[in-house]
Amino acid sequence: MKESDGAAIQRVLAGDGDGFQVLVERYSHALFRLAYRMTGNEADADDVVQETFLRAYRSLANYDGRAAFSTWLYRIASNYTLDRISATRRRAEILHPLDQKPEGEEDGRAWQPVEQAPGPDRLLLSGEIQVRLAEAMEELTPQERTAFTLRHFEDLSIEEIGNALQLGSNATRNSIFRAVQKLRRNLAGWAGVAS
Amino acid sequence: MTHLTEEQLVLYYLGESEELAAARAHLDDCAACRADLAAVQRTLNLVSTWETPERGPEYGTQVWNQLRPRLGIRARFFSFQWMSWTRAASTAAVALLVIGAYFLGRVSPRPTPEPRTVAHNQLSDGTDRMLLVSVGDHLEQSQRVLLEFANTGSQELPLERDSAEQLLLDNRLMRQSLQRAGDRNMASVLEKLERFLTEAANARPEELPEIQRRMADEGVLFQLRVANAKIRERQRKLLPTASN
Repeated sequence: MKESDGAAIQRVLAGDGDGFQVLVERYSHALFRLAYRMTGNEADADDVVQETFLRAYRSLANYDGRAAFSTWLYRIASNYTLDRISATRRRAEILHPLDQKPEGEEDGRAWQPVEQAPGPDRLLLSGEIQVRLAEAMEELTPQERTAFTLRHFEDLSIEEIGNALQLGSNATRNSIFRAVQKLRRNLAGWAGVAS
Repeated sequence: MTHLTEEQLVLYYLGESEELAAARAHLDDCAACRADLAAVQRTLNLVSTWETPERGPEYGTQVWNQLRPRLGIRARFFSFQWMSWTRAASTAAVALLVIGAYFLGRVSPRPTPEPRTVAHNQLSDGTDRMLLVSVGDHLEQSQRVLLEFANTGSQELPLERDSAEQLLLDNRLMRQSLQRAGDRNMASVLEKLERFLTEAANARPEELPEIQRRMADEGVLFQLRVANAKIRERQRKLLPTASN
């Protein structure tokens, strides 16, 4: 029988650090998928996975068990990812203070949705769709992207997402709505093609 | 009729609408809003097809192996959770060999003591030959793994790391047996080897160049070759004695 999250956590808190291995092996894949969807980059996602577990281990005594352990991990991963993105942006601003945002950047890259699907080859089409999806996700702000990912892919409630991102319910709903709005706009030419 | 806004439609679709019943009632009567809702659904269905790169079944173990030294958790002496059965069997075989050799040495009648001229060790009877053979094989394997480790890139790190973990367990058992047998010189070689095997077993990719540099500076591979040659020489000296 598999050891439960609670039993593994108790083992770690009792001084058996290897109990954490159970949790790492159980949640690494899910955390990687979440991290990839938030960062869009494999190396960054691997780093988020490592850092999330490191932080979780160090603050395990603070886990009160009110939320599922996976939700608690997602919260740590979300906060770390947002901090990391902010830090990267700050560094970029310091290094390139005079860079101007290209026109249309505020609302995304403003690429035009295609009117027609390119070519009959479904594999090529599928690859193209994946590229478009990644680009569409890139257009979201980090907060929108994280909130949307937690809602759409991880099925967390508004309250759980709000707790994770330290946002009120309305702000959380707005973030998710803005994310969907942007995705609809940027994927307008593709939604029908893929179905 | 006032149609549902885009925000109301999205929140309805996500099940987060604060006026769920009213929105549902409107949708029942309004074909235009139902079409808009279907469009939202198509977009989100499309987003659901977004693929993430695959990580292999060993990913969790790899994450743990990289994480463990950062958490300050040392590798367990015996940890069947992270050892495969093959590796566990290999460790058990070495352990049985070493423990068996130790006790056999205690109960077997020793040959008539004769003055010997072995300079640095007391390994001479049949029991100790078993240990010598094990140590010799172990040094060869360690040499091979550390040689690969010295020339490896970060992509291949997990393979060498696994081998190093296994050798680390064997190394501890043999070093303790050598210490008990009073072979301080060889125990000291294994002690040094243990340090590098520990580093190899717990290395993070970014630490690799530094470990490789220290391995080269301390000439660990050369020392292993010398130690192995000495062990083999001692085996050769002891074998004719055994046949007498």
